[in-house]
Amino acid sequence: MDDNLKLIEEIYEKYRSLMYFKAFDMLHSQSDTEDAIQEALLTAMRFIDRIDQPDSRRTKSFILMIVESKALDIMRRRRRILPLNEEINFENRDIQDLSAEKDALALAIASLNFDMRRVLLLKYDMGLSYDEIASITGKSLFSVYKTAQRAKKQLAAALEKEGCGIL
Amino acid sequence: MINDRDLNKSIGKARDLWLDSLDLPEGKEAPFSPEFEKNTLRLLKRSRFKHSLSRMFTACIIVALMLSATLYTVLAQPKGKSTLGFTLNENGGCTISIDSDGKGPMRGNVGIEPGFLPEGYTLVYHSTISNKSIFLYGHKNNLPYSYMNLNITVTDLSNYKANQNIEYFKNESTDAEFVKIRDCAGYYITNGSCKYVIWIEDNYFIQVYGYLAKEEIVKTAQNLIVYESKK
Repeated sequence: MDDNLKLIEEIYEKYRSLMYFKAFDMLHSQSDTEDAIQEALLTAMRFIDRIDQPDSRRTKSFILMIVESKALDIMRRRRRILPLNEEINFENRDIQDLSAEKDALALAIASLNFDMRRVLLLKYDMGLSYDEIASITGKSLFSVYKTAQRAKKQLAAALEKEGCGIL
Repeated sequence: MINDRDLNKSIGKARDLWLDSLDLPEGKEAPFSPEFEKNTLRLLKRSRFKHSLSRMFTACIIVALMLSATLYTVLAQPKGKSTLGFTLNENGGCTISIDSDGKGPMRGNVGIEPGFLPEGYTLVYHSTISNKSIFLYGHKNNLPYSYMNLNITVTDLSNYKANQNIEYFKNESTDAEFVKIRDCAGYYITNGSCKYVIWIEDNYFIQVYGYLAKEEIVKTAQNLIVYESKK
């Protein structure tokens, strides 16, 4: 148990600034940002057994996804416009480099909208169940499940369009 | 449709791509408010405190469960049950019968604590043979042995064979009456000038007898405590 607390303290020390900038980018309010981070820390404590190393990119993305989710919750509560269809712009990335990586599926996942990408990352990268994802994202189990299904369909369509065929 | 195996294979790279795409200032210190710093530290400390409390609580629960299990093992074992039968014989005397289910945990040595002893009596002899313990009290003026002895015998009825009849007295002068020893039914028996009180308590067959007055014998019996001795 003490190890877990040490781990959460380490995570907080390591990612506090990133958490701040991520949340502030969405909320544009100091107090809301700090609220989101505190809520994210509480959630991270609940899932601390899923975190093996504080210093890994897996942990970093997990923490940032929790912060994003909490920031979204706050936006919902404040009735702000949700950036649900936000997509990452990969246009500036070197496509040749990505093809060299030979992982069109990874690129397609990263290009999904926030909701779908978050569900897939939590499910397949963090190994969480749909129930657990629902508790982090504040959505219903059914909604999380449907989002995952939609994401998979979209990935299949995207890959077919790119000529990769169904994997 | 995309399958789980492919997703598992590509998800790490997808996560890295996503992380790389984030335009977050690495290494730049966030301008947290002093209140936030204080509250977050308190939050983390409180979690530590909560965890130590929950750890203490868990330890208490475990200890309680272990105690319960021990108590269950000791107390919840089926105790044997025995009943005392008594009949006056037609041609004099009486028959004592003990009907025992022969169950119950094996018990250790028997100890007694006489809450009352007639004046001048002290323990002069004690022995245990098999499941029967004998305590002999002698009067200070007639030590070591005399007709004035007060005898207490305790027989552990655990594993006692069921339905054994013990023919006690064949004396025409035998008489008996019912006495209550705490919550147990017992008999006060006279056989000549020797008086007996017999009863079954906690699956022990207890006899108190001697050449004493009825009041003394009955009071000795009523104040006698029998227990399982640790020694």
